[in-house]
Amino acid sequence: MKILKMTNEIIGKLALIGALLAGVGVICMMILVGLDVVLRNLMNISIMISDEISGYLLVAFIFFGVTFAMRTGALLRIDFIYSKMRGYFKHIVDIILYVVTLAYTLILLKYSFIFVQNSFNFKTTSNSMLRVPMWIPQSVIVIGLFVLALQISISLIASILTLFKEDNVLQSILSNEEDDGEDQDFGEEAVF
Amino acid sequence: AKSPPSPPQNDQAGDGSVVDSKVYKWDFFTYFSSASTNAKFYNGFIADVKEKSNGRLLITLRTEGEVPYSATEALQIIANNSVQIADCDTGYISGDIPEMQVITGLPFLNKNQQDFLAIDKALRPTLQNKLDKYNAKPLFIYNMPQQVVSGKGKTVNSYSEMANKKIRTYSPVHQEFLAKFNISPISMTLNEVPSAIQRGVIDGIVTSSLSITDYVLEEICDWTYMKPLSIACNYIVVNQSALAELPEDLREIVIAAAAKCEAELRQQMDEIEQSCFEKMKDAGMELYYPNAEDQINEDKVAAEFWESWGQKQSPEVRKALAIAREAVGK
Amino acid sequence: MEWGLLFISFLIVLFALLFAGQWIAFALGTCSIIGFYVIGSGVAFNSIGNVIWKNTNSLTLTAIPLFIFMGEIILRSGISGKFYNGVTAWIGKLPGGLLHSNIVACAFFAAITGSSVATAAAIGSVAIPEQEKRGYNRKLVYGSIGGGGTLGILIPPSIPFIIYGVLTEQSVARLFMAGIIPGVVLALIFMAFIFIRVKLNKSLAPHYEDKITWSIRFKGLIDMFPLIFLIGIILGGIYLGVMTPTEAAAIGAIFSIGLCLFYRTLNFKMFKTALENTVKTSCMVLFIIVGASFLSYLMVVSGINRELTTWVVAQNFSISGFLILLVVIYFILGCLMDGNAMIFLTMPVLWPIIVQMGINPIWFGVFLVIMIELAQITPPVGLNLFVLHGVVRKTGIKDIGIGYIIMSCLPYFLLLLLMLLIISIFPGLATWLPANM
Ligand code: NA
Ligand code: NA
Repeated sequence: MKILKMTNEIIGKLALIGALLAGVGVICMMILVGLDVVLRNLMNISIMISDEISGYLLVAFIFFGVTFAMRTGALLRIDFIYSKMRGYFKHIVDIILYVVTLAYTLILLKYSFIFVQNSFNFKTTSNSMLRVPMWIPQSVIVIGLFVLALQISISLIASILTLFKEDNVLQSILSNEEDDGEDQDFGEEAVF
Repeated sequence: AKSPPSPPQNDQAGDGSVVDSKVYKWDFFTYFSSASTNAKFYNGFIADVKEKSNGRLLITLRTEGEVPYSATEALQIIANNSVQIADCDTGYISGDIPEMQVITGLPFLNKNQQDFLAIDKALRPTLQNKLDKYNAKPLFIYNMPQQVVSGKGKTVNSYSEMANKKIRTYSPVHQEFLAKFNISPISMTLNEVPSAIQRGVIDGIVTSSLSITDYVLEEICDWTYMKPLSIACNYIVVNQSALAELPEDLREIVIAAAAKCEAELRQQMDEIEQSCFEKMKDAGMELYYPNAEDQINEDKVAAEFWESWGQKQSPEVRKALAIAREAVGK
Repeated sequence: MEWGLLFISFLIVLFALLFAGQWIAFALGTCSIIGFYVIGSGVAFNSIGNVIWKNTNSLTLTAIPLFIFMGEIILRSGISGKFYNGVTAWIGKLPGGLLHSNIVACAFFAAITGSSVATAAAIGSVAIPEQEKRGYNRKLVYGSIGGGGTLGILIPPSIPFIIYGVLTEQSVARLFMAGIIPGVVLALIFMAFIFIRVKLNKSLAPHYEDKITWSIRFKGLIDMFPLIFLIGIILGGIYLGVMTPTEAAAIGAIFSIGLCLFYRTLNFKMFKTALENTVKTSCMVLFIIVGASFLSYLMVVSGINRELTTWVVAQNFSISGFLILLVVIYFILGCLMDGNAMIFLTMPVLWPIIVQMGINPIWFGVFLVIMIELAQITPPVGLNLFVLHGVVRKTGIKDIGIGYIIMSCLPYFLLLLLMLLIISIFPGLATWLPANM
């Protein structure tokens, strides 16, 4: 139990770091694009790289932020049946959903890894002035999916253990949403 | 659902008595939209192959919107056989083969079909060496109409007069060159260009007359500076294994159809270009032909630029540049 | 019709996953991966990385987090609340009073955020407590915000228009122009509806006896100023060629922060919360987009998109028959998925037919966006409904179920259908402005 709790806390930290990076990403995007507009109109120069970098930042935003979104319950689900499930049956459905979602995430992880590996092996760069080696921005996908897989795994483990015993630790892992405290506005609204 | 075709079993005798009736299905990726002039030529090639092979080789044209690939990924999707034929723009694939920049981006170096074919011939061993990494081989090659600068407002009579104008180009080599004349290069999605020119976000664009008319820019732009900056060139490459796995007769059909399509493209691109110029003139655009003096000055700047640009490149690219310059005698 | 069977099987798998409660983004993707296995396509698996990269490495989509961020800042700093008070001073006395202000406020807020969810959240959280207090009929209040919120994507800037424009190579600027008149007409229709309801049954809304003086109106103007200034910057900037629509999202976010700093209404905690919510909401939306792009790729590799296209063309539908078919298809899809996902899913299939039938692509963009507005208020996946439900719960009203909210929005569902009919009869409402600007 103790190990499980610790692991959950570590994943929570990773998710939070991810969210922080995603937030910084939005700010960078905003500044970069804004600066480009200002410079183009006032000084007639263009940061030629702002659209390229903004694209990379968006990838990072999505994959660094997704685990946090999942932990805080911001990912949408249709729950008019799910919310009526109770007890043992609900646990079983939960386990199935986590298994399916984990399998999906792992498949994405595997093939994204191959995709990045190809870019690395072929030494592909972007065709802009920057000549960014493509594997660098692309590997963000692999990192993000890896953390997401960890998050789903721990939820899966917790929901399997719940079948055998009721435990506060397990409950807290399964409902990180409530634990993160803070302002839950959007999260709550989005989970219906 | 295109699993890689398996090798034919039954025509190995070579006496032609046994006909392999297996149907092969290939995908052909292009970044041009399905409504474009280029796609029409590709569809002609596809129809030709289908007809000559009696439907034994069916090729489907996949445009960028339908399949999840970008123009820049053309070689990689050939390498893993996601598609069997891919349309490679020399600029877009320069992230994979940096030598391609020599063909497409350098100012006033490669200005017409003759230049292109000479450069290709000289560089082909180098390029094929690189293409082999991707299991790719050119099926046919052609060049697009010349890329010129067009814009809105008072007609410009030289590159110097473009100083302080905001000109859109996707090529990083162009961007560097334009800066030599104090022109502000802008990078922008092509979709946003028409309204951006109309409302003055930018002043002009480096593109071919074909793109001008495809995006109806002749109604927005007022002038074109008729000195070809460069030309865009396309290598239509095929996955070598997929080609090798075809029965001999199908392989020959593909190669013959490619040659026919190549001949048509090369012959008709000139006519298409002329008709685009006509359309632009009809829409009231002024096509300005620069005087000799300005031309000489601009060529001089360009030649210096080739040198300085070459210095910043890898030895391989520098070597390719030397080969290309020799091929066109500049 | 082998493809038909395949298509139906995929849908059954998708519905099973969705109704079992799998997260929408994952259900879309899982169904696609199962599809890849079923059709045995190695190419599809090899392309998984390409699908992800191509659909996330996108300058255009950066507008999503940036507009949501801007909406969050405006909401948290109280600028939207002020604006709302200002509007009240001007139209509070009309039959239906503040209810109209909901629509007007939604229309204006929509103009800048480009997001229906943000609009419904922002206006709802200010309006609902106010109007609850003053004795307005709840159904009318919720409906006006849920319905008014849908205006967010018709009045530019609008994310669905951007996505549609990029997918079909249409000018985003022209699409934005095309949305303006239908957006205004729709807002007027909504207000006419409220006007008539309250005229017929006076008990639905309170009367204002107290006189609204000009000084109150003047103060109202001052309250409205910050938001109007922001709208002016964004729309003016796009129109005058200072920036592209995508760039407007970043500029909007910068100016909203600037305004908040100027009015000293923003503190660090608010900023942090706004950013946090931006991450949550945008990742939710963008991950659904990733899932939907897998599903649309499944349609391509399984050949269903081309088969369906061929089938529809072979039916020889007239244009009106075809459009009615589309309304039905989009209604069904709209019940099930995010509006943006709907565009991604259907455009590869439908675009060739639309071109072939000679339907004006700009007009079709408006048609599509109205269908997406419908989707925002149809269960089980109706983003506005759930945002509204969240806002209502937060104001301490616990006895309102989601069913009540759905019923409140039903009239607006019908009015949106009416709007579809109107732009079909008068296509110029959508096409005149883009053709003449
Ligand atoms: Na909007
Ligand atoms: Na819906």
